Amino acid sequence: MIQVAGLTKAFGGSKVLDGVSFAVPPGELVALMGLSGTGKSVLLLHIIGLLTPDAGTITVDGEHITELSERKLLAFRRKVGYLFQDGALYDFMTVGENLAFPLKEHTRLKAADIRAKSAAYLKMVDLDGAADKYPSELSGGMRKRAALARALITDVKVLLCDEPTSGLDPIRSRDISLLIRELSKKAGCATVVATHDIVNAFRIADRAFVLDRGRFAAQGTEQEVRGSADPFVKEFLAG
Amino acid sequence: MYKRNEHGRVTLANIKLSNRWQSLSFMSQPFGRIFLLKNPGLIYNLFMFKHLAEMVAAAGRPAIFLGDVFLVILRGRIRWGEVFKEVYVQGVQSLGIVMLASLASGAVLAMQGRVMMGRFGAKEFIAQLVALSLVREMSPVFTALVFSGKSGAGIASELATMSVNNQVQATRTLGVDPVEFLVVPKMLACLMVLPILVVVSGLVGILGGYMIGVGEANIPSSYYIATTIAAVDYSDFFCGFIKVFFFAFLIGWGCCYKGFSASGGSLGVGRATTRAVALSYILVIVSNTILTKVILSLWRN
Repeated sequence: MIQVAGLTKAFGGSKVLDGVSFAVPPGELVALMGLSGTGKSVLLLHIIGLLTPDAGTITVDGEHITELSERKLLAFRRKVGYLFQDGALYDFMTVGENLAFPLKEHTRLKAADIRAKSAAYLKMVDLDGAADKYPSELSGGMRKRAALARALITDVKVLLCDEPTSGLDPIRSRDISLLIRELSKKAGCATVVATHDIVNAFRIADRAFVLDRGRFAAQGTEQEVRGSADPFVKEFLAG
Repeated sequence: MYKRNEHGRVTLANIKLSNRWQSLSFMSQPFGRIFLLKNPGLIYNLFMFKHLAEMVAAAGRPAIFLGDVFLVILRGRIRWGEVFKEVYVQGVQSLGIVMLASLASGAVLAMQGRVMMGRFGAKEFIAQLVALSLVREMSPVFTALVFSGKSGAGIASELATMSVNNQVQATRTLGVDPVEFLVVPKMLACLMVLPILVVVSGLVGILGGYMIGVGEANIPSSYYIATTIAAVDYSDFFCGFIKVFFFAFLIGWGCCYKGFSASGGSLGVGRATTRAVALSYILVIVSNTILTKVILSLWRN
């Protein structure tokens, strides 16, 4: 589903990604770990086509992202759900309207069906009853759950999550992480979760990648990553 | 300030090239001057090309932004529902303050007119003075400035907040063009709301003048109304009104661009809003001078 080959990106002379390659098949959840500012979010933004690589190719669901025009990219992004660190729900819309927005934009569902689907997704993330509330009336965890529902509501094939547990307490972090796993597995999405939350990353991921200085210092299952001899990986995992 | 690299060559790695003062200070030192003599291309880089490139980029970004706006409009991807929502919001935001300002300016104009024209025994010309001043010049410019400060600031702060909170980015990830969804409705609403506000402003301003003219200067009501109607020609109206569309376009463009390109958290929102309002003021004042000159050259009478 997601295939990244030789992805290189530099900002002002400093290389953030240096020939990164990996693939995520449908239904798999991978965790992208690394220190803050090591390029995890940059990698996600490349996969959704919001950044253009200096070198390398990105293929998502058979489409070469780097070759798509801006119009085609907008159409392509309908297949991809993106969960922002802070949720990025529209302030001027209620939670229900936030969920309905992508459905109104990209489907021909009737208003009643849109309402029903939004309500069903809100229930799925345990937010039934919050449809008429504005994002400012919700807690951080609730906002993230609502944003997760919005990211998935158009039956996406790829789910990208940027620091889904940041700013949450350990219990809420665990809950949102497990929810991401449950919903992405149910939807059969290829999922990439960028995080520096080691506990929850290993809790939900099928495979993990550790980014260091633009390259993967370790990758594989939890055992493989934990068994890495790379000094940075050892230090990172030890905390 | 300068250091040697691994090959023993002096580099400017420690100098922040964007800081002209730091560069000047370096160049003023003896070593800096020698360095400069050995690297004449540096002058070009430091003082010419860099700033020229910055200037071109600074001018280019708003132009590209405007190009995106026109592209959406030319493709007919106008969200009229959003446009009318914006018309309502911007109209409601500015109507009260525009009416108050217009009433006051009309009244003040009449008060001053009464004193000044009274000196020449031409008190009865207050109606013409108020009406022509308002319709030809004051209402369009005054309303545009008030609109910039109220609705323009609202547009810039709303877009800036959305930018710094990733909502603009989220719009793209949802497969929607943020220019089409967030910017074009606001710009079109500016073009629809400001002309209406200017008409309201003119009428309310004349009412303010009427209150003073009739109430204080004791000009008969029917005479005041009749002279006002007789004084204002359609050409006077269009002379002022035509400028309003330019003002609305410039305010919409400036405020949307500043808000849309904001970054840097809550500080960035404040900065973008302030710059948007200041830019709108400058654009209105400068364009008014140019447009007045052009209009008067074309239709002198």
